[in-house]
Amino acid sequence: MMVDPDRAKTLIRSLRDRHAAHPTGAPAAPRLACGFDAAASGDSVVWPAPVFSRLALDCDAAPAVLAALQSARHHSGCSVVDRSQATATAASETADDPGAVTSSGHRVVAIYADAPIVPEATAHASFIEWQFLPSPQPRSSSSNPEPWGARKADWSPTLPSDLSRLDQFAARIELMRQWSTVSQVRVGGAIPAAAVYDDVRLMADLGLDYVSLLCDVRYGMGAGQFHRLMDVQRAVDLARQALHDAGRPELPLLISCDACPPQEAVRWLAMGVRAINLDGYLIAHQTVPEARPSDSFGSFLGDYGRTAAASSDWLGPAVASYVAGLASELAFAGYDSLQTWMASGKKALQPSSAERTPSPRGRKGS
Amino acid sequence: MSKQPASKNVELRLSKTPPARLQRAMEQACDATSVQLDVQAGAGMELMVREAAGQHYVGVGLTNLNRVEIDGAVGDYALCGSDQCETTIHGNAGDFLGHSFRSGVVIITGNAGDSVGAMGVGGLIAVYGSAGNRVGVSLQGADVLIRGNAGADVGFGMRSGTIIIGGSAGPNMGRGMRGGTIYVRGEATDVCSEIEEVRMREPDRLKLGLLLMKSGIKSSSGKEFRVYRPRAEA
Repeated sequence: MMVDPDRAKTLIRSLRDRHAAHPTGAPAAPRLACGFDAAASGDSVVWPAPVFSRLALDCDAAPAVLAALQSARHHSGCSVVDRSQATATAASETADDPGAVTSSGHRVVAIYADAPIVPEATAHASFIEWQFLPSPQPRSSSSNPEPWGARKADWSPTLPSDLSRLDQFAARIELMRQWSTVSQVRVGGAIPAAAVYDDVRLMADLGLDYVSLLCDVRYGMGAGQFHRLMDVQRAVDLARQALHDAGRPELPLLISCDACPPQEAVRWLAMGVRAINLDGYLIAHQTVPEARPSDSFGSFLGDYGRTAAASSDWLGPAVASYVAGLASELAFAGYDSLQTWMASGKKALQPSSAERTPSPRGRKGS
Repeated sequence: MSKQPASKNVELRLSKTPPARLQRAMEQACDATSVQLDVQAGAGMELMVREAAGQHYVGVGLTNLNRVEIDGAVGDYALCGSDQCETTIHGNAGDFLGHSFRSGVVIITGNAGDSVGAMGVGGLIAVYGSAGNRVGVSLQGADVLIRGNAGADVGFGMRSGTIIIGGSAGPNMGRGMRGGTIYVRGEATDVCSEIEEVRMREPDRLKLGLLLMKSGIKSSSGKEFRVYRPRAEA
């Protein structure tokens, strides 16, 4: 199911098509909402923008960054993957009720597959995401100053160690659904891109509501603090093949890739990806607080050097800029909503049966 | 002299209540904001569950209850993530009983399935009958007591905590074990090379006696138990 990425360019509407679709002129701000359908009921929960961030989960981010992310969630519709907190209360999560009409992004509560379950932490979440990777462990600073995640081995795909059969995990997913107070809770899985075909197929077979594929993983706020696990194009192709073979081609696929600009993101969205991780883009647009003359002057006089207070003011505008960039790309292509863009991509980029590559393991059907 | 608050007794039938939402059903039945608030005020909360009928997910996330009585067998993942509850199940239990158990005591009068106490971080799970495979798998601090026999892979991937087997333990005991202690009274047919038998010391006797007493089992001197711990790395 390999698709030439450049074929997405053919989706840009011609003058004739634009006039047919919007005789009065296309709207300036296309709608970016994307839906997540439930596997069982078919109900849809909408993300206001097809973007999400894992900075709060993967990086040892400062509280200011976390606060800025929450602000961006409310103002720009960026969903945020966060580690489960036992102190989460119903009151703080009411905004995540999918029944509520809101333009805020969703809070995705992450649970590590190899860690104990804390039921209260996920009770009121509308999105729960199993992390199929080792949970972060503290490292002794004297012997090993590296942060958790600096080694590629820290991102090895991991199943819970207490499973003896895989169907037991399906029961655990059902447990989260049963426990949740949110009737339309979505339970997804995040998996580092390694054996993508087999892993994505397993996710689909387990009954998860979406799959988040980590092609690039970030372990810090520094520019070089990330690992490339797999080429995004290759990973997306393999994942789509796996979903097709599992009989669930509509299962939402989320990807994490480093510094994916909006013009590249819309290409992935046309190829069936439901949402993009914008962390790489945010880090690339991170601005360092400027040193004030008074700081260096005090240092010059023998005073203790003062470091400028860490500021996260750059984060909100960067998220807003990314979302606006996506809308701008769609408007330029002549579309008034992400839904129509993705529908066109599905129609135009769906390979014929002759184009489909054989399954990596020679397996077909669910 | 201050007046002692009266305890509240709630009886729920699982034919009418989703098994995984007992805590919330209980809160609604008591017309309280949360059970925790009541306990802080000094009132005792007791929950009687009838017609368990082998349903899965019974009592997930139960918190802060003085006494929970469950009549009948329960299915998989019973009392998952339970915290600060004194629970008795009058019947058998399925797989993953007390998964991610945090604190409190669970006593099962019957047998239990596989993976009793998996990933438990605290508290005590006592099974009066026998248990299946992988007792205490990935245990992270909880104590698990099996009065009868246990299947294969006892203490698989265990990090800390205590497992007491009153009967015999199946093959591959202690596979992948990185910490904690296993006490076996009967036969241990096939012990993994990753663990070794060590001498019973006074702290072991004290711990055994305490856990047996908490489980409601008549305490013995503990001399008939053998102690296994992971081999010390060279």
